[in-house]
Amino acid sequence: MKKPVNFLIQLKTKLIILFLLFTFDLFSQDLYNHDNSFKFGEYLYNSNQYELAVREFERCVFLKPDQRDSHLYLFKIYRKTNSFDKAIDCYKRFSGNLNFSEMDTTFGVEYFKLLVENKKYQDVNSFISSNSYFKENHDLKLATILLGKEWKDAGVYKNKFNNQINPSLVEITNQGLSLRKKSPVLAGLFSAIIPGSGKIYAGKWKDGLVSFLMTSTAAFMSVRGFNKNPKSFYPWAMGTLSVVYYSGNVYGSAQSALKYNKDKEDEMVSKTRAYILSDR
Amino acid sequence: MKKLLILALILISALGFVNDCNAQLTAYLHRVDSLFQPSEKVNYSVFAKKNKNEIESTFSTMFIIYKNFFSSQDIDACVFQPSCSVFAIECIHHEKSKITAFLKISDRLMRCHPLVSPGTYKIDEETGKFFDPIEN
Repeated sequence: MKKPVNFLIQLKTKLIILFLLFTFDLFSQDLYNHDNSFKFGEYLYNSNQYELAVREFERCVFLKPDQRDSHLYLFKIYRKTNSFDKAIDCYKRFSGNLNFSEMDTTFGVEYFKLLVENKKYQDVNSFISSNSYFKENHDLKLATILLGKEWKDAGVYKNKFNNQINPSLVEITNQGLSLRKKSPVLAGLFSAIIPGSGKIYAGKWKDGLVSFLMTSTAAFMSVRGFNKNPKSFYPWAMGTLSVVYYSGNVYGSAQSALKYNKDKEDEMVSKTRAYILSDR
Repeated sequence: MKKLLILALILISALGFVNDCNAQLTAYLHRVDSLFQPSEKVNYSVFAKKNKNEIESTFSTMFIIYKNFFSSQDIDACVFQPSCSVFAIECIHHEKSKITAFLKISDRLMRCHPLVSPGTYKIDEETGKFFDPIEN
């Protein structure tokens, strides 16, 4: 008769233990709730693990669609991973429209960076002039002018708001103003007078030296051939070669001057881009 | 004059050694490496399909003959990617004015020398040569 009682006590104990086990579960954390997902997403974002961070912030957006910061982080990640369309779609999901002129400051700065990242400088210009938040942001306004390579306009703008502009941008503007461009006409003219000198003027002295030697050698051999045997094919071939080299050198010198100017201007644009895209 | 020319040539080759040693060495090793690699068969007749007129046809034929019978027997000496011959045929096909094309080609031929400073052009990752397409 003792056996069933023991069995019942044992069963009761087991049931209590089981019940306690389930109650412990009630105190456990929900790792996948909004706050935890957001914190983990922030950690992943700060450690540049963007692919993983996107999942966390997308979960946050699913749990709280009105939460602005999750959308902003997603926008930033899509910008940094060069996913232009996804970033635009992210903003559309948040605001419900694509009215960029009413974009607030934080989203606006990110959108500005997105456009710069994708080299859509025309859109940058229209965005800055249409958005009311940016009308007083002199740094970005000046940066937009610098991206358009309008050095003189940038100088005028810098002088107007000198105290309110970041020193880095002031320096870039000054460098842009003091840019000494090479004239392609002058380079061509130099090479027409002395072969290769136009290239030297455009900053490529090695190209200039080689051009001079090649053109002058071909011309010299042609002249020598004509003096020795004018009826031979050889001096004519050398003469043609020297004419080809000569004309190519004149053209190349003008192109080198143009490339020199472009490289210098692109350097200023790169500096401006680096300023805009840096996490200031 | 002959002595002067020889002297100038020696001077140029000496300058070639003074140039950035690392870049020179990398290019040289790449060249040596390529000597022992079986060269890939490239079908140059593709360029002939783009011909639109007689000038382009003539140059395409010259290009194919050069590539198959002359260039294939020589080492890969051009410092640029695409090589001067490919650059020339692309110029002939793309440039509307053939005079501009010839000017571009002759300019390119004079730029192709071992003194090219590293940093002047981008480096083509595949070949390790200076990247200079016709758009430049």
